[in-house]
Amino acid sequence: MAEKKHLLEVNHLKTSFFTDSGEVKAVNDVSYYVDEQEIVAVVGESGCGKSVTQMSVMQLIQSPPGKILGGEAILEGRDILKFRPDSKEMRAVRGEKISMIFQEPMTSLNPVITVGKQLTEVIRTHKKVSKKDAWQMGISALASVGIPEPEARMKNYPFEMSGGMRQRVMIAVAVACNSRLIVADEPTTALDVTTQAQVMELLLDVVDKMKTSLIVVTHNLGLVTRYADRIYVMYAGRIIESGTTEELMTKPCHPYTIGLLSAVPKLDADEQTHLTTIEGAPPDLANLPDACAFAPRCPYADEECKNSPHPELRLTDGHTHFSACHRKIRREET
Amino acid sequence: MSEQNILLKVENLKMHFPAESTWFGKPTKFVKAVDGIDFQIESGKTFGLVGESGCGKTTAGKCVLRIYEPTEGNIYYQGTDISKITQSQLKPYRRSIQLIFQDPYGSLDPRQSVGSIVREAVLADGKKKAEADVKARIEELLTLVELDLSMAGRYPHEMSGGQRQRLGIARALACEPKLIVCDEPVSALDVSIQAQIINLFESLQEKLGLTYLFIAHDLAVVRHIADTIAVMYLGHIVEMMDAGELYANPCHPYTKALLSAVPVTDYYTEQKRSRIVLEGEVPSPIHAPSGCPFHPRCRHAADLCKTQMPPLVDQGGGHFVACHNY
Amino acid sequence: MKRKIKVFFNRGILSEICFAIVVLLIFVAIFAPLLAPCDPNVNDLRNVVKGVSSEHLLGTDYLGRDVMSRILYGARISLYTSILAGAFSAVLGILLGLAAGYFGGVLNQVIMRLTDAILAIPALIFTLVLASALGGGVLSIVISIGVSLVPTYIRMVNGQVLSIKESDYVTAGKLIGLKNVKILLRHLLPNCFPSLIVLFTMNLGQGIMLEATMSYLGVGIAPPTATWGAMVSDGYSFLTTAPLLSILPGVCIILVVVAFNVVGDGLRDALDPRLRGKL
Repeated sequence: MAEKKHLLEVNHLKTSFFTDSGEVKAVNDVSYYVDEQEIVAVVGESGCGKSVTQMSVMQLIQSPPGKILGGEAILEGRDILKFRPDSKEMRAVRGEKISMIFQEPMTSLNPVITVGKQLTEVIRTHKKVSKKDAWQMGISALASVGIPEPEARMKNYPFEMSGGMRQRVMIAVAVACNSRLIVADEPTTALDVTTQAQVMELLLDVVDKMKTSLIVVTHNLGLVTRYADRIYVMYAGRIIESGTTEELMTKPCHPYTIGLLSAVPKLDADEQTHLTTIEGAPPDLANLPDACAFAPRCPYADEECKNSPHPELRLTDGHTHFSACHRKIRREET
Repeated sequence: MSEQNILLKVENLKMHFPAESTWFGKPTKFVKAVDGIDFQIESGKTFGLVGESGCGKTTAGKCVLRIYEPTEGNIYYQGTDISKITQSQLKPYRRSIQLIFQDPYGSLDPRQSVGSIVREAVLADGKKKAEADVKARIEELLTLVELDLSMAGRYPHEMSGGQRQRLGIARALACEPKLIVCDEPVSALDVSIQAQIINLFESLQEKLGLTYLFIAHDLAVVRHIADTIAVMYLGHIVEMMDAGELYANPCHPYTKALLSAVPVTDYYTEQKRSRIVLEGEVPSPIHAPSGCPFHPRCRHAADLCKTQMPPLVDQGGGHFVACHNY
Repeated sequence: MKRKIKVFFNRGILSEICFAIVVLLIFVAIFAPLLAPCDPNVNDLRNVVKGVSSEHLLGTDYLGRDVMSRILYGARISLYTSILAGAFSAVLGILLGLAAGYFGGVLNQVIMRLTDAILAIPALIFTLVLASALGGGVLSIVISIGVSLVPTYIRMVNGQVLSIKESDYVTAGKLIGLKNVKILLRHLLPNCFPSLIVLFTMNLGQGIMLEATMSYLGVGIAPPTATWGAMVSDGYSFLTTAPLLSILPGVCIILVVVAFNVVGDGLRDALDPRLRGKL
């Protein structure tokens, strides 16, 4: 059976930051893929490397002190990591093929330039159209993301808009460029709950109508449960569990995922028991042991876990559920 | 609920900030951050104040602490009205009501070590204490918040977010407070650390009989820790009930929309839930809508909703709703 | 502490050289009487404007005085006046800035507008006029330089206090029951220190510059006291025949002012990395 071609396939990506404290292995052999019209979530807490992974693929890592040490990112048959970061080819990828949406919409938009000007600038970078046409395209892009009175909004400055609206503008930029893939790095963290829902529903809509794919990087497990098709869980620069949303949310295997899910307060629980916490703190990425990075905090860790090298991702059940754990833990066992 | 047990009672609290003034400084437009709220907290319980940004929950908390001077209304603490007394009359109550800040780093003087911060709080009541007692008290406080005693020499920038928040709690506890206002104390923390700090709050409440006014925007956290929850919108309380009722029986359209917007981690439940996506954005508190503040975004808005502010009415069992449809 | 010293010297060879210059200046100023080969004020009219010789290592000036000794003693004057003026302006400026920032209102308006008024006048003119008004002499020079530098402290402290006043940790201090004065001294002032120390070292450079200029213009320290500024002025007429007379003291002024500024930079980085590049 021929393997379906993925939209984006990242293999063995390694990115480190060389600092005074040593080499910080922010991304330590990460492989993942996104198919067409798919929503993939990359989940983890701060410092796990989820954002650095996406920035590496887009070649937006500040070098020095960062450096992509290895790996490939295959988009439409070409390894985009082979392009030089400031080359024409890479710039054609950014914005046109892959768009990125960041957490802080205020800082993504230039505060002294009107929204319309920024939109048209992006459009004209990737498509050969006149200023007038680009302006019209901008208006229709704003309309398609549900911004009321788009003609008036084009003349607004970013500070005249709320956080939710600015985030919509960022999505409009992706829509205007007709990107194949949108990477959203914590797109809703800075927004109110109801605005979060609006933005996520909008992204869903865009994925549906424009047939784009979406990678959502977040630490919000609820968001992931609702919107993602597949999930990758990252810890200390590695993917430690991956699978469909149903698999991960109902039958998590890796102790970290299990711990994370138990630590989240439940809105819908009848009985409010004490939250189970994960003891300790995340490891220092400059001094990573060769063994499993989670072992010091793992309630199931045994001698093998502490001494043998970091476990590889292994198929645990079905065809798609992988876990990087020496022990085979099931949630029911806990 | 006997009257003696009520530690804090807030009546018709209003906090209006001047937004525009005439040439001579007389304010013409106001930001009605808090526009008439009533609630009370029993001793030893946790009262959760929930809402999105701009709803006035943090302002309400700061009014209780007298960081802001309330425009109107009464705040009864242990029976005494502390809303209008002078700062010097407030002195005996100052240390009894404490605050845990949202940003653990900003609330700590970057030039003070852990030990120094706690020591200052212990000594700030001005009473003379023996050095040995002071030291013992510092150790006791650090142990209470589960901070290792060896941390005493560290500085805030050398600590993690969770550790900084623990230090903030230790400082508050040094004042032997009865009421602690917690202003989004876990919003800035990672999921696994959040759980540790929430557990800490709960165990401290059990051990020391503390009362919390817990302000947050995360419904799941509030549902977990609070006994009673009040939902705020544009300076008003729109619904108030026991924590268990929040998910099981929300009444106000805004509460329902809020709940619907919060995804849960239970996969099968989540797939079955209906979603209410609100139109528009939260209006600015300067241009608050007439009548019920929620009517522009409410599916069930009737003519009455546009003109009259619905009162907070008990639906039975201590479940209050401010909606004309009830 | 060790880390701070490391950061200070890690900034490159320039920092280390400038630090050495400052140390050298202090050393020379203190030990000038021991280091100088001759009395700087003794005239020797038979040996005017003589070049380098074994007796006078850097030559003599138009009155036959030993240039080297005059430079060494000149270092004294430069350092003394700038430190005195610096200390005076720092103490006065910090007090006024604290008061303006913390108490706000009318007091703030009065102090800040006074500051603006002083800053509106170019420093040199202000110092000149004030020094003349106070009469000559070292004390009036010190006071006039000091007064012209006071606004820099007021502005800085006022600004810092205004922003720190709103911090959560100041609110926390009020909540635990600390008195205003305690908050001012324990929390507000120490957090201003890094910027203040940097400002102090930079003002030392500025003070030396002002003193030298006044001496050059003839309204500074009265002759025959050796000051670098006066030496530059005196040697002016001999620029073509004996250029060293003006150039040597001029170079000293430049070196010392630059050194103080660079040391100030290094101190800023060492004391508070959050301020890096933000003074």
